[in-house]
Amino acid sequence: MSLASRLKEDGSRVKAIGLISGGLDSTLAARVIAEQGIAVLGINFSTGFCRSDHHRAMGALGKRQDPRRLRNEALRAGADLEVPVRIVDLAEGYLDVILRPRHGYGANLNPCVDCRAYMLRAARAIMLEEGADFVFTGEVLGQRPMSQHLQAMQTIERESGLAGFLLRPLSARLLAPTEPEKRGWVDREKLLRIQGRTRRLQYQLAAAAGLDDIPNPAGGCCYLTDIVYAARFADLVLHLPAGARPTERDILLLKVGRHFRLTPGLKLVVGREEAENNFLKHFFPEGPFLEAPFVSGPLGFVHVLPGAPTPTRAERELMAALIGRYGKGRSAELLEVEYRQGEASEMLRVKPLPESAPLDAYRIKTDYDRQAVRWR
Amino acid sequence: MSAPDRPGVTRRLDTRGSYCPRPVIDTDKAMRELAAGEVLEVLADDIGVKLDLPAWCRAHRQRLLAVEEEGRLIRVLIMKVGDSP
Repeated sequence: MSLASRLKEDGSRVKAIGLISGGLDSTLAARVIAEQGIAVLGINFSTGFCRSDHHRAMGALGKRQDPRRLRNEALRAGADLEVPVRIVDLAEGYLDVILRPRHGYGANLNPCVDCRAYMLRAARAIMLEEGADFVFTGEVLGQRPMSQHLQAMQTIERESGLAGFLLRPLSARLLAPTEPEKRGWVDREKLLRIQGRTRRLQYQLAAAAGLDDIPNPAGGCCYLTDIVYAARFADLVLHLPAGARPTERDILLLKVGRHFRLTPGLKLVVGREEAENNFLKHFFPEGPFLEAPFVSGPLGFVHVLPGAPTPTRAERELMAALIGRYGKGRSAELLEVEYRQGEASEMLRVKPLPESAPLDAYRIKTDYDRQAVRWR
Repeated sequence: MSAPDRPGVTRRLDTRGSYCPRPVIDTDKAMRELAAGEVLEVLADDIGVKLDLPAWCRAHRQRLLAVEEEGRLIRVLIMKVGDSP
């Protein structure tokens, strides 16, 4: 894009901070602003709960390495638009957003309103640090039920400390003019008036702009909107000792495998594919692991919470029988399963749990008490 | 970040063992500390950097000099052209 720079009263170029995920809306919003000759610095926040980061890690650890699965979409969007995008780690402090949401949760443990306000407070700090003039996002009025209706958007703006300096270019002409518009830094007439859940117009605009390599929107990037992930997170939080918080590794572990809660302090995580087995080995190399060495099958990772006792012989055998159920040795009368931790190894001989065996007692429950999680 | 042993390289950033998006975050920070004309060498074992760092260079208008692979080791050389726009 080669355009005349848009200048302020003092002759300096207008500069904006844009939240860019690399999805359709934020990419279009960045284009709408950059097309006005405004210098844009894109920001992509990493919270530790982003599905796309995890899918990329899994893609790198799997057999087939699809480039579209590996790339960072925010950087790809920046490259396509010739807009610099900075990835900013926002994980520190994010647990407080999840566990102390002033505005509560969406369908699962997604604290969307608090999350947006938290991200925009961080964007405001970058705006001040960079000497930028305003912040913009790809939010669309009425697109998401919790955080993109008018009242929520106003709350988010107020709580972010950006009142008057937060622009939503895709819906701007349906909203009150912001300071950048009033001051002539942004031409309001070139902003859009999109609302609602359908993205038909965005697709048309993207096609017209030659932006044809944008991933399909898939209901957002956040793991906390996922019913299974949220239940695992709740299970972890509710079983931690009083005063303890989930670690970065705890949060990572929730993203892979089948999870079985065996006792309040003991969980078994069973890989579902080779990439997940590799993921467990890569990120949790200390184990303990369970694996049937003479038949193909999954890897099991044993997660013992701080302060909990090490697994008893009976618990190790139960986990070995569970592992056996998911491997090629499932019909064996007696299956050898290795339990190993570092250099130490123990061979267990167990009858695999039959496929008909009920596992409900061990599965993570999805009907947890969200209020109990909220105030931990 | 360590001192380089490769001719023409100003600084070396070893990101091995870290996964996306950490190598990009660290590269961005390191590049902001370089002066125009200086070269950063990034070592990585996350294959995502083969896509991410070229994209980062295009977005930030910095010069990508090389992306090399030796087994699992990925080496990326980037020259700082100037500050990002």
